[in-house]
Amino acid sequence: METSAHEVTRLLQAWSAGEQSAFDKLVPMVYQELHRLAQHYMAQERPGHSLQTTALVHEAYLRLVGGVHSTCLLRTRVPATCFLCVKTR
Amino acid sequence: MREDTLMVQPFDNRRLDLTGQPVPVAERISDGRAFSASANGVLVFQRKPDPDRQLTWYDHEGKVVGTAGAPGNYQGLALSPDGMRAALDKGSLGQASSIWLLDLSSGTSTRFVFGSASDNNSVSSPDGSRIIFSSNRDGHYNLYRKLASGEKEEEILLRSSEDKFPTSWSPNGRFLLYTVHDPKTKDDIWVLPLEGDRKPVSFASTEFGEQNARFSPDGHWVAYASDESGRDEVYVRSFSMNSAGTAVEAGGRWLISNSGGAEPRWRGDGRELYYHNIYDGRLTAVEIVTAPVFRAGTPRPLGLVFPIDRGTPWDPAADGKRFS
Repeated sequence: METSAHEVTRLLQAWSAGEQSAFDKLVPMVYQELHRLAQHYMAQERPGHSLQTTALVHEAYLRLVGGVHSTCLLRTRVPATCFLCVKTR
Repeated sequence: MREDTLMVQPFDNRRLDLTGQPVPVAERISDGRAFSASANGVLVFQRKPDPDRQLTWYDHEGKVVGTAGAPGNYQGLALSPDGMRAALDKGSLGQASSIWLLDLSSGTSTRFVFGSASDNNSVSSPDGSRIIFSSNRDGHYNLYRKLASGEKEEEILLRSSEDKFPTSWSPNGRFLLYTVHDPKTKDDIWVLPLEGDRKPVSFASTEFGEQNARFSPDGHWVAYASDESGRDEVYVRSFSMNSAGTAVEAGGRWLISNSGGAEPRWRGDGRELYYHNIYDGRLTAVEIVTAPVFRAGTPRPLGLVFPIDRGTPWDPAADGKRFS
């Protein structure tokens, strides 16, 4: 899918204005573009390079939006879980 | 003796009669008579080789919320994907183990594999209809597959000259993760494609010990333990493989634990990963986010504390709630 620069700009502006749904739409667009660029640059590296495309994209993404996304993990609470264990009597 | 408990009670030498109340001094005495008392007050006794163990449900704070099945010498357990059944390894240490299936709704268990060999380490298929396990009936521990209903005899899945133990069946049913134990190279993790020519593919094979690999519920990630840093820690790697066992994309790798960890287990929805901190015994939870990129939260110790020898089998409930 071709990412429209105009659409990205519009979403960035909406997100800046506080529209969270704009961020949710923006992320996959940016991610796809980052992945495409990473694959392009990785193809020019020597074989067996220790960097990996997905890891590179993830690292770049986290640096890009780290400040924004760093609290997300704290916000997503998961329900408590039960565990089946062997207890010695 | 009172059953297998050794009791002590005052004895009047002159009247040749017991006095006072009996008090227990040692439990689980072997054979009901494996003890001897000396004149200087020292008592020597032999315990039964394995204590009976009880399957027990805990909440994340470590509170007991129920029990399952009858007590037994359980050495391993694995909950089925729907959480309605537990596969149990039963047997005394140093003796052959056998696999039993416990129906958590009725509390009844039935033996699943028969014979005098050691059978253990069961892994359920995603739909629960099949079970893969290890057996040393041919010398080394090889991999076998059997219908969970027990209708037919098991079939050999993988035979080789090393001991192998299955750890996880991919959610799409096409791959099996297993640990290969080699005294020279320590433990390694391999993938067995369950379709095509079933040629094993290495997943993590270094001079370090890698083990206990588990597919995430969506099948895109694998959590495992490795001692490559000098101590056991839990890592997650992305998993992308076609049916021929060829990696279709090199993936990333992330360190999950921060102060030692082993035996990773995914929560049923993949949003949390649990592991056993074998250095302080605590069960630890880490929040996981995989989209748009993989991120792991800060390890959060739970209230459950196990012995640090990794000898306590455990498994999280599939949907977070216990069935029984």
